[in-house]
Amino acid sequence: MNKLHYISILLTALLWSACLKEGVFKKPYVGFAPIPLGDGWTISTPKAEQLDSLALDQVFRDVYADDATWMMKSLLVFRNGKLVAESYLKDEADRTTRAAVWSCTKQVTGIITGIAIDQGYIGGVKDSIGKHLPDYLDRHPDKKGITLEHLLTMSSGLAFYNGKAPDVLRQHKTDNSIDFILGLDQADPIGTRFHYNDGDPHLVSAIVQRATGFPLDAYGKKVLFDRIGFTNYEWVRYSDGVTIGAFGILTTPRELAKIGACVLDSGRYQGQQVIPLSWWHEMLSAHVENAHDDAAFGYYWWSIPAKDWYFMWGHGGQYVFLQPSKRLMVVATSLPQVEDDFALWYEDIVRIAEQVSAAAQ
Amino acid sequence: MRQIQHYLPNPRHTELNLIFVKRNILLSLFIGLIVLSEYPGFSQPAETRQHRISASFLQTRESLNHGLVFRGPGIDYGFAYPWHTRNRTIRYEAAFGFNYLEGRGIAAGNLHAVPVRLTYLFHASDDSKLRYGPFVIGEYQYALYPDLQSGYSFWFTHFSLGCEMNYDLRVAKTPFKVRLRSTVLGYSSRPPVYRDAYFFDLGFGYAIDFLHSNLQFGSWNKYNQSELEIRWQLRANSRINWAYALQYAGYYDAPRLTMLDQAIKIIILPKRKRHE
Repeated sequence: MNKLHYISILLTALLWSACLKEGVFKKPYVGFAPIPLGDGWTISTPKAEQLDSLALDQVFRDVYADDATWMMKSLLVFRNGKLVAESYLKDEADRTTRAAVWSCTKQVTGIITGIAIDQGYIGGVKDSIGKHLPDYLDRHPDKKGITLEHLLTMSSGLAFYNGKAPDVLRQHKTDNSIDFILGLDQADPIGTRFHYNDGDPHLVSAIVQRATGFPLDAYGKKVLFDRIGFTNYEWVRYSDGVTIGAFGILTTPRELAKIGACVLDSGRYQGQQVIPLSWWHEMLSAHVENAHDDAAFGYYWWSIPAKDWYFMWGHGGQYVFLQPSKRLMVVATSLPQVEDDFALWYEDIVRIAEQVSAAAQ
Repeated sequence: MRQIQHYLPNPRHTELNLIFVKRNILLSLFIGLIVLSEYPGFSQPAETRQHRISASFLQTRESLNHGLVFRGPGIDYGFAYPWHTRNRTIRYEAAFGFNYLEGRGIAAGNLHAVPVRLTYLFHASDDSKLRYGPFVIGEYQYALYPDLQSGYSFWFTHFSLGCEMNYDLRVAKTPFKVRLRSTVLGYSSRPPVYRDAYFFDLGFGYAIDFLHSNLQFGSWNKYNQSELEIRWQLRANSRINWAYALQYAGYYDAPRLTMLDQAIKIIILPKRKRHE
């Protein structure tokens, strides 16, 4: 045996012994029975809520078995305002641990804005930003044509690109978040093109704050969160005191579902109208058709009109799907910091929601 | 409601950490200087600097990455400056490198730097085949997973005292050098388990702060970095040596970390002086 043989045997042995194994991405599936937490949710069973238990079980089993959903953290099903099924794929602690829901924050911003309009703090969606932020327009007069409606439908035309511009805020590279956003160039003429971005909702937050005298999160607590029992959350403000209107909420799947349940029940909570009905209609209406594939965009709320789905959608794979005709809600959350190519795909969650819907009689 | 909070080390801790870092570096230099001054023979090196280029394959399992293992190739440059006397060897080494990593198609990168590794070896026998002794090392591992952990940086820093053993042998007329070394105790730094989801601080200045933040003292109960290197010379009198190295690094507190690096090294020895 020559020396090369010795060396190759040695190297092979070492290489073979030196492989790290991946960890377990999902726990073994043990069922979907919800646990009472005293958090305001009524627990029920599939049978009591006219859901095919076997079909629902198969949906959960498929999700657990599907390697493509390795990043998924939770899947919850609600019907008739009751929690019917929940499963935490990675860690039971995710039931109560707050995590970033990213752009699901935008839909909350949309709701609170409507309440501010209903309470008379804001005249309406046709209000120009100059009405509420006149001091900024002194410095950025080219933005005076932007209205609240433009901001609510992502059509301000501002050159705020989510790949880069949010990092200026997330890295805290500016002292004045509103000045920074309004100081950006116009990428498009105002009101001409839907351009999904985090700048427009942040301006909405500033408008609500200026109009009501409270930061968006504080005003939202008073007019929405306290009324629907949404308590286990945080909502981050920028250091200039403006609540981040585009992202910034950290909460649990069950808590996020309280927002969805209120919207699913036509803006009511325990019989009381929390979201003004006229705003509820306006907010959910398709203002931008086919904003993403077959999904339309309302005032920050997404919808698939052909399938009667309305949904919240956050970066990384945070979703709340509502189907009013079946009084059905599906909540799914995923690892929060994962970029789009590796996040829980929109198509996958739509498929899962459809399968749950098929189980609902 | 919460105002934004950057993840930055407590300034007071940073100050203390920098003191620790400086203390370690000074300790390293101090040991080196003492040794050099004690042994006059070291002032006339029998060998001069060696250059090393390695092709490596790194695997890293970072508990903050939810069980994913990242693997990928890299390249590393190293430099060594050994001094020998009849029964002592002292060696200064430095290295830096980069690995491109992937886990489930998600790209990542890992930077690696060893600014100082100072080794002091006793020769156990007259033929100097077996050598052993202590070493001090400062090492940085800095990783980014932009598609999985957007906005976060990951690191493993340690300033350690360890022990090393070298053994020379011949197999089928081929000379081999086996080197085994392991850290014993020191200071280490890792990212916190929880970080602000929405705000981050990526940048050179922050990275320098992070790398030296929250340094904690520990031994094998906390972390370990070990390396086995087998070096051989395929042709007699060649200035090129080859080596295979298997390097392990583990951090055992939360957030846990395991790194395995396998490398093929090409070591370029200095030109030998012709004796008249």
